[in-house]
Amino acid sequence: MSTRTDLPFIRRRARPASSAAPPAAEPAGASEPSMAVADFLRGRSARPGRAPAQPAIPSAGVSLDLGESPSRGPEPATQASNPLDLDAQPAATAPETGTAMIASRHRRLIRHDLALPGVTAGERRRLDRADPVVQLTRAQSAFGSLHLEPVVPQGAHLTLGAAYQVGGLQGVVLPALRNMGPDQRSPIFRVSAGGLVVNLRKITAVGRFLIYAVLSQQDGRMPGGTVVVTTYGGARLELPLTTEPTFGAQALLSAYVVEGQIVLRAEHDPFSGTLHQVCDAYGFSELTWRDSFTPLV
Amino acid sequence: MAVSLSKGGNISLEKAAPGMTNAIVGLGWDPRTTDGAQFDLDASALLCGANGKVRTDADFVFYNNLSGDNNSVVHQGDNRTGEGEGDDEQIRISLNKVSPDVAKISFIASIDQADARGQNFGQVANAYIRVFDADDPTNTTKGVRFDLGEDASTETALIFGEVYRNGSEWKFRAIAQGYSTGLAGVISDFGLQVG
Repeated sequence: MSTRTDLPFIRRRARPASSAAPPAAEPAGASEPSMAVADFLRGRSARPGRAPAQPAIPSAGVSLDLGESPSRGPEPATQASNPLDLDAQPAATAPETGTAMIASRHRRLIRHDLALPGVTAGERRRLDRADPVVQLTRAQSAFGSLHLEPVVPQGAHLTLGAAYQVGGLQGVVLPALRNMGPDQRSPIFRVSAGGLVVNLRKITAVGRFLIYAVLSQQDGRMPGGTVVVTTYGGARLELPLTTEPTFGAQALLSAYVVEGQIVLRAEHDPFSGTLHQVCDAYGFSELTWRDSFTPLV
Repeated sequence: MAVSLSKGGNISLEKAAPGMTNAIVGLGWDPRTTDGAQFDLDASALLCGANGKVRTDADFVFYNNLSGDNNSVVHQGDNRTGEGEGDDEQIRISLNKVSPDVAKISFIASIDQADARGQNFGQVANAYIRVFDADDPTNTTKGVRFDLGEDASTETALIFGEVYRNGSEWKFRAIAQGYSTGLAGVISDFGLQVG
């Protein structure tokens, strides 16, 4: 095996030439995860701590103008007469207490819109190189489970695993080593020979995760085929796999939880490495290792 | 003594809790039977316009979106301290700050992974919803309460009650409408899709 020359890129995921473009303006009050995900979407460092500090630039989308003329809401809903109504008197005729005025002087805060494509129930979406990112809604990100299943040619085999950051701690799941994590009694990540399941009920604790493939060390070639990601509502994302040779482990899909919404990115990473190198390159550097393919769990 | 409602009943919050501007909606329950599996119930709220549907998906206040309508409705998370007379979960409403185009707020409890665990509200006892004054929480003469009884069987999600506008005042209605399709089924009736 020849000497690796690509390790600096794998570790940093930043090409000097590509850094010429100025960073996009962050919305006012953008949280650190938003900045981190911006880097993540640009394909730069996956390490949150590496994102350079950027001054908050006021955005036109978030206005603090309190003087805007309010638009009147629709007429209040009236309720039909009900024999169980405990109110003897008719609807109150007292003058407005100013409630509506106070409320309408303030515009509702606009959530940070990453302007990323979504996916709807029943939709089938291919995460190819040209369109690798999808953002799930808050409901999609929190209901049921996210299922990831490798569909590979007959006779071939692909082992999926995940590195995750939950509550500030990093860990991995990998078949035959640690099938569930981080809590064995109530796991968020469960992996088996048939694929990987992310329990979304606990998504609020998850910061990010990386789905990787581990190949046979004798061959090391990706088998081709597809990894199918399915949401609770039946939306289906398909990540095509290559047949390229690897050094044993390949990053497939990374995910950030941004303001309660999962942003998935198909990596299509031209570089591979040992599992240790891949996890390190994607910012899971707090893991400890028995050897280059066996994390300590 | 707080006013006790029966199913379908309603009352003005100004009558039940005079002067209340910040309300706490508390939901409580006791798992009646367990087969060893964890029994996890979640409370959530849906802020609806005059058409009975949510305005945006941000109007769905639940464990993955703890506040809505510019923080006028805030999910308080699990209450494990014994505070508030044992409510399992609470949602706080700043009645004065709710946007004028929010006509009602519905409160739901749902069982997590009910299908996978074979659980339903038939296994839940002592379910109730109550509304009390957040600024006077120990005053037991103020507020309203609805005990749902033992009607539910196969349901995996229940609309416990709703707070709605009636003219310039807020009222509370006891509902106890069950769904066997879980929280996803409930929110689809309010114009949201899980996807």
